[in-house]
Amino acid sequence: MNDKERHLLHYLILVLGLILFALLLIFFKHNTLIQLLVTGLCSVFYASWGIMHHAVENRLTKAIAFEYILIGGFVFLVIFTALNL
Amino acid sequence: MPAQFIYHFLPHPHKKERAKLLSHKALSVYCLAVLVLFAFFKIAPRFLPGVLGYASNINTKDLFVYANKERGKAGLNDLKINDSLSKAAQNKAKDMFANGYWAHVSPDGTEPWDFILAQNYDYSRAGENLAKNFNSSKEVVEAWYQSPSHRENLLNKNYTDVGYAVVDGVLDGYETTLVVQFFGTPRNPSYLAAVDTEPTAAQVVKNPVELPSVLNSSLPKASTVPTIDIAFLSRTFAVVFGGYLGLLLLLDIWYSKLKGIPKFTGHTFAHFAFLLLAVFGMWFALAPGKIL
Repeated sequence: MNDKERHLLHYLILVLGLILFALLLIFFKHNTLIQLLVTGLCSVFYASWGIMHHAVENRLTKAIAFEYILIGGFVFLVIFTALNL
Repeated sequence: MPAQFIYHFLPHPHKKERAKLLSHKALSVYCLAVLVLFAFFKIAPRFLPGVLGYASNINTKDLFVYANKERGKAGLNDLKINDSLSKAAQNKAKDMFANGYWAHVSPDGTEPWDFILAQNYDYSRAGENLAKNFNSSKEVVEAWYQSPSHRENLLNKNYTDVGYAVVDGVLDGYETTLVVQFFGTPRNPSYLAAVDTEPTAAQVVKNPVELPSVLNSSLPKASTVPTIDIAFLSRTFAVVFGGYLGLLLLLDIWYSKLKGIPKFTGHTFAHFAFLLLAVFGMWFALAPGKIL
């Protein structure tokens, strides 16, 4: 598998994962607790994806890992706030 | 100075880093801002009760029609409005506002059945569905229908009667509308005599004059317009803030490609896709109210 194919595969995993989480959010539309759990798992999935992707590409630094954790945390906080209003 | 200012929005070609508004520091500030906003929404209602709330336009007629429509689809009999159950539902809703709780059982241990029995409705079966913070009657019935335990009540073939209450008030500092739905089957079938001539759901729509008095009397009391509508505010926040960050990320992708800036950062496109999920969730997937 060359670099381009590996890159595409990683993005395919990300997009499919995000679509799955979006479907779960819709499916559990009226269960706040499960939606909160789905959002938390989605944020962890995203941060893990970013860190693993960069590790496989030998481009992982503390700053990059922190960036994915920050973005994942931000999205979780936004949805957590909306779910608890 | 203007040349430096532009790098708040665009990646720096020499420093090879993101726009300042997408830096780690900025992202940390955004996280903090969301936490402050959350704290504000939780604390503000204590000092300014009724200012924040949920706009609603719910009425018992529509609840009655939509609920029976769902029963009709399942091949079940229409439920009939029972004045005693409606009065019991009114008392339950008022009790929740008066004692500041949102539960099937009140803090002093009063159960839904106590409200029903207090109206001399002698039941063999009874059930309760609750809803709050919804915008419309249709959303309430849809939410009940999509929840297995509430649907079980809604589509229970053993129930013959139903009573509704739609009451506005301030709960935990938030202006809202509480919906209480009581189901029942009288122990003594003769109890049904008073409601034998009730119109069907379809007749209710066509000829509102024939609605049971309980339904008509509740209609004017079924809408709230708080100073600040939380549902509208959170959706606006999702679009404005999501749009702001999304635009910065798109600018990052475009400008980096245009100037050939090789940044040693995370993938902007991945961040953009993840942000899209958040905006989607805020807009489409988050339920408009809560059921119990």
